[in-house]
Amino acid sequence: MSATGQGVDTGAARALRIDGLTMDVAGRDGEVTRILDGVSLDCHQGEIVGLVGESGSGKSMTLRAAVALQPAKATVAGEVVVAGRQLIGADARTILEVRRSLAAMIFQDPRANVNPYQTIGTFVGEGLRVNQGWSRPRVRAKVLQLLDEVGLPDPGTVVRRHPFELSGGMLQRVMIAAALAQEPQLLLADEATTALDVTTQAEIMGMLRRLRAERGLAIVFVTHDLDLAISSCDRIFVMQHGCIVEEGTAREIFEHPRHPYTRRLFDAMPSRIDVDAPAEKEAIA
Amino acid sequence: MSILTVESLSKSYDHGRVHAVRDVGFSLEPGAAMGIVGESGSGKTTLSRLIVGMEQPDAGRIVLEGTELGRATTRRSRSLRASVMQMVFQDPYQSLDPRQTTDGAIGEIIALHTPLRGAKLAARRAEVLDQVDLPARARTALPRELSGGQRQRVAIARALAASPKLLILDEATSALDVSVQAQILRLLARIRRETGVAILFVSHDLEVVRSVTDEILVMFRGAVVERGPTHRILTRPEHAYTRLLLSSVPRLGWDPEQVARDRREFLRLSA
Repeated sequence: MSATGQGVDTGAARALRIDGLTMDVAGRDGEVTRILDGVSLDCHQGEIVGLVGESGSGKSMTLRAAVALQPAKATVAGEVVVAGRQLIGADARTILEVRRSLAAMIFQDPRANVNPYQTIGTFVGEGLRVNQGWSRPRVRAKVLQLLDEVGLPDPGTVVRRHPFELSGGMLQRVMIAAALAQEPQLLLADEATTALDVTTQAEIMGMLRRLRAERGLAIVFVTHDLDLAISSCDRIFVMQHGCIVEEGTAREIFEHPRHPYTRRLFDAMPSRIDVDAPAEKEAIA
Repeated sequence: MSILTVESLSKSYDHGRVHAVRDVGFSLEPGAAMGIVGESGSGKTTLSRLIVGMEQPDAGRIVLEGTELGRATTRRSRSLRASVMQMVFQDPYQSLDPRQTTDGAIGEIIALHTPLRGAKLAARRAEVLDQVDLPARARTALPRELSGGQRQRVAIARALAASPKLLILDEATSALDVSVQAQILRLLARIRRETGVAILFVSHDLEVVRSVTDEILVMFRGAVVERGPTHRILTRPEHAYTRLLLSSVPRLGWDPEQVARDRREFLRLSA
């Protein structure tokens, strides 16, 4: 029943393949900082891959590179391939195709990513109406089906609501519904449950796992919470200072973390932290 | 004598339609550490705001070191409250003055609550900043020049500067990275050992509360549903809601869909 340990070499198509991705950003003083250094990871259809690390490790930047959202001034090298389309050096049309219909992204704070003046129905159906040119009744039917699929009770009422009328957990469901509207193969989730209560987080994770099974969705899940990644991802990549330092199945990482940084992350989990342990001299973060 | 006693505290909003806190009572001994746990809307934040006087209760009593807190807040009563208890919030960005350096923020509190001035004030300030392990260069920095963990250390130092007997922390580590959260939890445990300050730790996460408290109060829809020693609550929870909170904590082999079903069932039964 557990999701962990499956999907490692399923032979399923790769929705995302990142190979040797390096990203350099020049600062104001002209000094170049390498923020990603040879990152390689992949995610198959029907697989949840966890990308774990702390602030500044480069995990969000890796995720953004998968939809060509790196900073304009960044110099990138390597390969980023989404559903067969190479994104590095791609033309605007390919990038638009990937963003519109192949990959979708959800974020930590749904409220910062919706238009507060738009109703939920308009927001979720916008892509279908504008990009696909669907008629209003067809969009409406699809929106109701999507809201139902993400577990929102009474979709007929929810479509008329505005974002401020929904709780954080409900709004994150709306974001996922909007992300699924154009039937992407790849869902990129950036700390998508970090701002939620533990109980709501469980509901969202349960839903993502169901969507993965029902739609064969490939999900890359970025989080700083190693316990959460262990509980829900098939494979895990651990990132530090712009490099992947360890990868393995959730069980491998849980039972035999090899890299010292992975072990340090485990020791910092609230379920394991020992506050009375003699404090090693820690860098003040 | 207990440092804080809360009796039959209630607070409702929206003309009595929303009962944020219902008939809550507990007492806290000097140097004790209690966790208040519940999800959004459980009333845990309202309870802590009532205790520090940011809200007025509809009914019930709050007794601080044997003195009942009156309804009227005068400059004197506020100052008395502040010298006994201090609060640390989730987001230090919003609770620190963006134009005040660390030294300024701490010095201001010492000047307000103690007669120390000049060199003595500076010595006390250095002592407080040492307690929270802030490096020297952070002392002349503005909030925006500090990391998230450093900002939370400044917020804790600011609270400690008044030498309170009770520290109330509302989701104080929720916005931090896990390793920074671990550092702050260790720091709180050490401050408690060194100063004997009592701690009220408000959080939605039972696991976070585990490491820094002796006792836990579990709240659901404004009421306390379970109370007991931390170890017992985490290993042998008695109330269905506490069990639900515990099963929501992710781990290997976790089944979040089962958690979601249990939650719906629980909400249906308690409706």
